[in-house]
Amino acid sequence: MNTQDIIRSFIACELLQGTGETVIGNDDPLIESGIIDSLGIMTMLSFLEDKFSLEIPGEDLVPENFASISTIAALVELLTNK
Amino acid sequence: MFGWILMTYYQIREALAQGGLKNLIRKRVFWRRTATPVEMDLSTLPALRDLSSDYQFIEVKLEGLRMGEWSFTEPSRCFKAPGNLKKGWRGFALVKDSVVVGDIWCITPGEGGNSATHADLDMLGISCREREAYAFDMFIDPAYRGKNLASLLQRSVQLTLKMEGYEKVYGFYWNDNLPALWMHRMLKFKELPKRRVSRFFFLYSAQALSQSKNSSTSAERFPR
Repeated sequence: MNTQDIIRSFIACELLQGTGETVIGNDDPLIESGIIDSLGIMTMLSFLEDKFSLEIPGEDLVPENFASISTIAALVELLTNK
Repeated sequence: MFGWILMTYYQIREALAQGGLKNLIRKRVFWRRTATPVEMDLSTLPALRDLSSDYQFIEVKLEGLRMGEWSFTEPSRCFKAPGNLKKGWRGFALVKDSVVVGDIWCITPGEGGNSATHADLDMLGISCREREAYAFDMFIDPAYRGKNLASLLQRSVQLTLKMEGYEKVYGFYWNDNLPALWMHRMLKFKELPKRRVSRFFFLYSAQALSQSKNSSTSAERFPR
């Protein structure tokens, strides 16, 4: 699985608590749809830091970086390549 | 005085129920905690979206409290409200089926004749001028968290103040409170220079944090 698929799978299972039938596109809005709210961001952050062994700096915790699966994956790849 | 004792009693009881003794003490005794003051320019406020009809936005008034128009899920919030109003603070709330599910308090110290103030302003290095307000002590009932009500409440207060002629609202969040940080960033608050605060019950000290220390990473700043 690539980074986007890992994030998609996490969102479907943990944030949506679905059965895996929900299909989320790479560019579907996560914030506007309410998937990532103030509690969802905590879950997401813990997952990303554990799964990809990285630390997300405070200045990167902005809505633009968590707007979609694509933007989250781009952030992860940026931080892992640093 | 009796009201204050009751409020404090319930605050302690609720804090113990939610996070235990350690959590209770951590709120009142801490060393070098980072706070970020924020401001919102009300002239650039976007329109309110997704105002759910399930919730009614109200201003908390003494008459309403006396008449029992609303009930509070957390007793400490109920006992706190009359005291806050007597200090000249304004309270706003989201109500569902006559139950307050979230509330926030506000002062407008720059307004003529209104001498209401708050110790936070000094701690944060903020001075409210004419047509500026400071919003603080927001609380959302734990059973209603995760429904975006904090943003709804904040935005509703901002729109109300804007309609009353206010130009700016200040606030702050603790940097280790990730949900609060996220909410303020989602609502596009402008972040002001951070403050480092130490507190021992009623005593506190605060100082501006140098710019170079703002870029510390998540492990220190967002303990989970």
